[in-house]
Amino acid sequence: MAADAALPSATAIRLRQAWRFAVRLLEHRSFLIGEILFLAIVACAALAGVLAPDDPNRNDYTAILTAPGAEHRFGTDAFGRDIFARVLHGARVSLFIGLSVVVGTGIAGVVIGTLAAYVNALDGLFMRTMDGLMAFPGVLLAIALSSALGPSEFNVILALTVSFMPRTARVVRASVLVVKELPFVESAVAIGAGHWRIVTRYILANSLSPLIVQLTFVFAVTVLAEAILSYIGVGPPPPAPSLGNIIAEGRNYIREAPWIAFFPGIVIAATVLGLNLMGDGLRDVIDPRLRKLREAG
Amino acid sequence: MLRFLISRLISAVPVLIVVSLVCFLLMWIVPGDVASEIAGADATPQQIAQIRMNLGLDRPLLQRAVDWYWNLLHGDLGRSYLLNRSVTDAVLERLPVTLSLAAIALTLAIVLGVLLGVLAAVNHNRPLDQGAMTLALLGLSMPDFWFGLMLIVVFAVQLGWLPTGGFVPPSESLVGWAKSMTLPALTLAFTQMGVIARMTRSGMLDALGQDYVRTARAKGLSGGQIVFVHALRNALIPIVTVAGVMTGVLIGGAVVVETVYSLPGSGRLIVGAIQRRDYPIIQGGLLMTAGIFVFVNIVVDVLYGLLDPRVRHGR
Repeated sequence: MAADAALPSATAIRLRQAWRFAVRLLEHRSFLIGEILFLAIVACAALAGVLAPDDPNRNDYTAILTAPGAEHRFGTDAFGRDIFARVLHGARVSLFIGLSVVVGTGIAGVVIGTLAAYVNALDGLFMRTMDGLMAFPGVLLAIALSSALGPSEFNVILALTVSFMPRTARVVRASVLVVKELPFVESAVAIGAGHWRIVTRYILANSLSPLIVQLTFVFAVTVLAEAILSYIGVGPPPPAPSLGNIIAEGRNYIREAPWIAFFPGIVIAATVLGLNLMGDGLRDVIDPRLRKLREAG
Repeated sequence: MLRFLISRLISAVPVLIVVSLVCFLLMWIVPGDVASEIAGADATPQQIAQIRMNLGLDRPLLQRAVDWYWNLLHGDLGRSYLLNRSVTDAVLERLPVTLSLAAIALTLAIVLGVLLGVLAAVNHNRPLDQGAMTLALLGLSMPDFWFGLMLIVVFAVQLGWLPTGGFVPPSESLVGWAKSMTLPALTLAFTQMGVIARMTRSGMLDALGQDYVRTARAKGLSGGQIVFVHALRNALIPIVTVAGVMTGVLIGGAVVVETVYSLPGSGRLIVGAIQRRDYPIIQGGLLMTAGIFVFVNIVVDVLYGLLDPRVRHGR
């Protein structure tokens, strides 16, 4: 590749790096399986209206608690609502909440993590606060916050973002701490670049890979946590069909109609499995690059 | 060692301050009037005013914070409205069920996870390895309460081997207690087993490549001796740390699993309090579970320091 007569432009190098990265990811078997699984679920959720033309909230008292069959692929619930339609629409709600929390924790993590690593005076305060938030076991903090704020989709997103942002903040802080000591940052300081430019162009641009891996896992954990919140009754309020809501409603009919709870759980497990596989693959592919970066520094 | 213990205890102080502050502010972020929410729809204005006064909601936030910390230092977390008793007593009474459930689940998760991880490492890159890791990943990906419901369908409804829920105290019948705890503990353990299995596998693969394993093999030790005596011992050290984090996850998970199986633990107490807007119980329960988690992590760190002198003396 060094045989090119003219030096390739920065954009060309970036594009080539991105291409090589994508190829390596797709060659990683578990990433590929995870991606196919996850994208299939996203596609089904996006096409919910086409795949399941039934209104997920339409009651049909002539078809109460019907077992899965030709007419209702996943059966119906106690109101005769079509579980297949509810699960597909529910996946939309769950995926939307997951994506929102990924964006929220991503932004919060970058801001808090970078400030903590870059401004010494803030490090102690910020990171001890994050430690404190992480001291609440499991999803207990999210449950408590969501119940205090009141049931709404936005409050669920807020509660989960607050609960999971310590993880992303820690990851960003750790990688900024490494990157800010590298020679190219020193050079940037030497040529008189301002703080904003140093942080955005030099430090953040080179320290976000671990965050991407972490966000994949945050997405997975959020899908699980949303289901738990809904199950306990502090999730997005019914009749909105979130996957957790459907399982919660199915709990009372677990003897006579186990399919109500069964199918949404399978969709949750498949979504989370896909995300976990993708996260594992991303970590495998990204990590060696990071190691090389550290050795170069 | 004492110095390490003391520094570890001191570092827990800011964490506990943040934890207690979050618990205190919880009632402050409730939109609308907390007192009328607690009192319910058919309360008289006098009753609402009484609750407001009892909770100190008529006083400024700062003064409430001072009172909260003062009472906290005296072990007083306030009174529950619905149970009409002290929050500390109510939570303490329910805590043994939660902690024993978490302890059984942790033991199960470690035993099953280590076995699965060793099995995978010994059969590296063979179908058994892939099968074990798929099982581990599946456990990680399932919602625990849903897995619990499915276990109920199979083992309680279809086969009728175990109860669908409810609790038998061990003082009443040991067999009944074991039966009532089996499915909840399995539910909790299965999701955490995956984490342990994955860690054991990578730790074992690492250990099996070390010089001391080659030496052990060279002097003619049997495969079992090498795997279990030489490699596994070294692979287990990181698992002690994970066990600490996992205790938190298990206590948090127990909240949900107790609800699925109707076990009278502190988790179900908190969930019940959420549904009835009994904020003192939510605050107190949250504070006490987080406090236990912080304490467990200190114990784990100290244990780790005992196992690995490098930790004790700082890196």
